[in-house]
Amino acid sequence: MSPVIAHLRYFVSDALDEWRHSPGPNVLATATLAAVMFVAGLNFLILANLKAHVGRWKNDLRVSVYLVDGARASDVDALYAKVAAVSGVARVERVDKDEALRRFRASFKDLADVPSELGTNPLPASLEVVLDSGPEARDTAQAVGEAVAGATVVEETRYDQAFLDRIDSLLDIARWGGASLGLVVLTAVAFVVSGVLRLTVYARRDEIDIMHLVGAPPMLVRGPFLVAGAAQGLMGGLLALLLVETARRAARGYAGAIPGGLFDLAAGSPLPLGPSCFVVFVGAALGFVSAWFAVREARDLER
Amino acid sequence: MLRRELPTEGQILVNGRNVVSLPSWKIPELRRSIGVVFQDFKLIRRKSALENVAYVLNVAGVSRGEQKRRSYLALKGVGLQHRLNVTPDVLSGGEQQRVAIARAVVNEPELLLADEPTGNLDPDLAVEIMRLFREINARGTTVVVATHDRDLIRRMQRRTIVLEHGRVSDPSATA
Repeated sequence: MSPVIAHLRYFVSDALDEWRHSPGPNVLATATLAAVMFVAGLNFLILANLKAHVGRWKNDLRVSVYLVDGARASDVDALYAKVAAVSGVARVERVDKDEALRRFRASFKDLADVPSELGTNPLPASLEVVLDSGPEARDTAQAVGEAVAGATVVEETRYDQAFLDRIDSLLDIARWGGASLGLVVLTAVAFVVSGVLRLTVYARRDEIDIMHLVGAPPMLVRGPFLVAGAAQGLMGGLLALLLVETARRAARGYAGAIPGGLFDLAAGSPLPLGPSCFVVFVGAALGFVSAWFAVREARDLER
Repeated sequence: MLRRELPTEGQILVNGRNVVSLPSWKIPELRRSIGVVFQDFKLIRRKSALENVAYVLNVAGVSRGEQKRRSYLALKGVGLQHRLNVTPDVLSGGEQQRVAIARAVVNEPELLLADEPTGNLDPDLAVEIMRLFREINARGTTVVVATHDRDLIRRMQRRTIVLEHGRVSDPSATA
């Protein structure tokens, strides 16, 4: 066995030994790391779900072509044929004024009486253009817009691309803002956890003194603490993932009565593999860095 | 001699090497070449007798199998082959000091330092410990014992250097 492997084995066995002999500070450090990574994991969960939804919406674009009142049927038929011929258009639905009114009343129940009070149906007839799903939907929507531009029967063309782009940008800002804030919080937590780990270092100061006296190089003295810190972070990260999924399922059960609501939007799907690995990796790295701070602070033990 | 403290002036030569001018990264290497026994034993409380002795070999990069074999022989050499797996808390003062001696010699150092090794032991155990040092010395290891016990020094019949107020008062005195 190579000396490196032998030393790593010693680090791991010593770290386990330390867990058995003084579990208190180790559990405290692991719990602190788990709590921080749980908050980070929730953040990733919500952002990942929102991002996925926006992505799906962007791939499932519809274009509404509103028609002027009193448009001739032959002109509308010609427009229908022109739009349907655009590459990437899945189908075109005709929505007359009555259907538009029915949809309005179904969507806005509180305002259902307003058209009646006006005495006339103010809603325009339209062509609802359903596009092929996929990233090319954006280009198709633009092509449809160009196809109907200038047509005399067209009152207005609307699709939500710009709105979705803005939401996407906001999510990006939230992600980078969260990452920056997270970095600050993680640094602060590293100091807090290193304080906890320093307790374990000081609890073993006599032992460390003996290690130095028998000629242990600094790395052999520090190694078990660093491995223990990384292991605590790893366990904290895994625990955080477990808590995130447990919380998500619990909330799903609670919010089950309102499918398609805010909950499904923010946490309908589990945390994806990438962010999950990231939570565990950052947890382990945070534990390692905290331990490094702890043993660095304890340099005065080296004599 | 272990480079735990530095003198205000002069040099300390160990095996021809001036430890005062030794760079800090070479101190572990120096300490691995010297066996040390302390008055308060300095054993790691949560490790067994065998593990305490084996730790020195672990530090030196010796394989696990070899660590066990040599640690066992060292403990057998001080008569503790039946106490391998007990922690220091279970051992008597004399037994703890014998574990410390086993740890000091397991790496076969050229020099063994003993700082008040009998200070915490009763007279009979003190004689027993000094007998062990005599055996180790007979095997070729230089043994330096620092003690205040003049009676013990007289009984050992070995070269004695007397220090008074931090100065060598009698460099050649032999009891």
